[in-house]
Amino acid sequence: MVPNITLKVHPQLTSDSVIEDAVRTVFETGKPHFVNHPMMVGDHGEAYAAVSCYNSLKIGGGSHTLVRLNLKEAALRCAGGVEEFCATTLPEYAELTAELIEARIRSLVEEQQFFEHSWLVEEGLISLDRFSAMFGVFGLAECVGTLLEHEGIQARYGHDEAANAAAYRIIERVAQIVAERPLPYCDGGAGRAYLHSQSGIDLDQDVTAGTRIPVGDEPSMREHISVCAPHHRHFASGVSDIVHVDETAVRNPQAMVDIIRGAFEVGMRDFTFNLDSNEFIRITGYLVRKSDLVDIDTRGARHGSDYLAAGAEANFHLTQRAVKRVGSAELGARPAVID
Amino acid sequence: MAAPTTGLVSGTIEFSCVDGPGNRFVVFLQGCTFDCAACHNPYTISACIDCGDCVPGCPSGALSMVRDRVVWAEDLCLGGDECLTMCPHNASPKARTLGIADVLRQIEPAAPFLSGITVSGGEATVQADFVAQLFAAVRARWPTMTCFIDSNGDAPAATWDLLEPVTDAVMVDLKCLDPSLHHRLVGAGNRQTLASIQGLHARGKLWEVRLLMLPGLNDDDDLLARTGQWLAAIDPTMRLKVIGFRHHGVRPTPLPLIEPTTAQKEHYASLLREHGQFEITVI
Repeated sequence: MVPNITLKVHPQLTSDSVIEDAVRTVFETGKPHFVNHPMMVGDHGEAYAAVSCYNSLKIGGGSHTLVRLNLKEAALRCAGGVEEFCATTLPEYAELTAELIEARIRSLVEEQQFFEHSWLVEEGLISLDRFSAMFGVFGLAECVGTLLEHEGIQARYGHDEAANAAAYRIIERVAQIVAERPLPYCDGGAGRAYLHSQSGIDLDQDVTAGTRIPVGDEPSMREHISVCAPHHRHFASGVSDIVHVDETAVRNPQAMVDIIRGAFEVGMRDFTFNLDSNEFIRITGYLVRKSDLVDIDTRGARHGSDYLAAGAEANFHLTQRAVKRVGSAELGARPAVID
Repeated sequence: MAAPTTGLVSGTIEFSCVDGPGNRFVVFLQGCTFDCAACHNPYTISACIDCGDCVPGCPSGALSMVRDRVVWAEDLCLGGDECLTMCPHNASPKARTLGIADVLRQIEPAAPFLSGITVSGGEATVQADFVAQLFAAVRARWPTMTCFIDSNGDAPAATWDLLEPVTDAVMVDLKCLDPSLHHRLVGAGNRQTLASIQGLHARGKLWEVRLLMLPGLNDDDDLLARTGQWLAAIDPTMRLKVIGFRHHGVRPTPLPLIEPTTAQKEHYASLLREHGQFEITVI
């Protein structure tokens, strides 16, 4: 099952009770996501939509293609550190990515003449002038680790200042490159591709999705949000960091409302959370039941998306996320309840 | 207002959803007036006396003796609880003396995410001056934040006089209505606690009363009924938290402490409901 639903949150216009209703719905079903409405409007205008695979695009528009650049692999092809990567390796691979995007766009628009023939255009549902393309990145965590190792520094993204700073530097450089690279038929994005922080598909192994902190290695919830938030402004067509929440939050949904508001205040574009005890879990854009994932290889699956999710789960160990204790745990691993 | 004071702080948590409404920053103060057999954080009861017994047992070498004082190196600490379990004095080597500014600095990065702060412990009211100044400073810095106290209620009216102007609400533990059983479970009387519950309600500052249920000890039907009646006489619609005892963190004790079943907890709640339209949460 892959239902798409997202709540657009405006800091003043969206009431606590609406957000709380949505939070209670997440407790039951794992949806909706929450997006920062003013940030989205700033990038797309009022007429935008968000869909569950963390894609946000103009209504009536779309993306010709999504090509993803594996930052982990790119770093392995750089002998030096962060600065050399940003000066030489990254621009080289970013340009290859752009070339591929351009080739696909031209194929779609010029050779196949999709927009001449599609009933979607004829019916007025989409128009070429609202289209753009998506330039995706993933594997930022591994990329940072590799480059800093080349500099003789051991540092982990999400935990060490040096790694976090390197991550911001790399993403800002990607954003700069993409902003300076014109693409045809991308009027929807002012003639440039949108950046997308691409969460893994089931083929990915040993590489972290998008600009996320590696699964199971997440710091405290506040740190997790604060470290990842600064990337979000660059990713107009979608970004996601998934926060894992302890089931004690169910009795105090207002706590999640507070956290969601805080996340947007510190610059997140998308806020998504899983409940630790929830039967439903979000894995790479597919919503599946945990019980359907067990023994999927022997039993088969109820829904097609279960196979994709099972593959993603096996490769990503997503049910191992470190649980963020929005709870009473004191320093250390104790599950003690304060009262 | 007194000169700026410091507080002996056992620890803090940036995000808590079980210490009052919304997401809250919690400050746990070191030192308590009670010595409950069922205490799940007994290392907050006393102040460290620098005996040094905990030092060799730290797996990460974060503890050392320097000039006869136990020193905790926070950056080496891996967050384990060996030192807490080992302490023969119900104390913690991690307790720190902090000024108001120190605490505000800790709250700052979490501020956008918070409904407010809660001071717990240990017993918050033992360091009432510090709490009062902290709350005043928090309200000045973040006017939308609420300031809650989690307390055993064992404080005189004068303490609540001091705290009332800067406190939004208090969550009070009622360990036991019966004075002699209270003494047996807690090591102190309940007179001040009973007066505090009544007084805080009169001041409009009582958020909820918490009842820690110990099967076979304080869960007698008759005692519970009397407790329900006593609470209803104050406010029959008040919030109650019925908390089932859990062994985690509790010290060895001759008292027969048992964890109640879900059915037992539901029974406590329905019994209380016979005496008032309480808003009951069972944990």
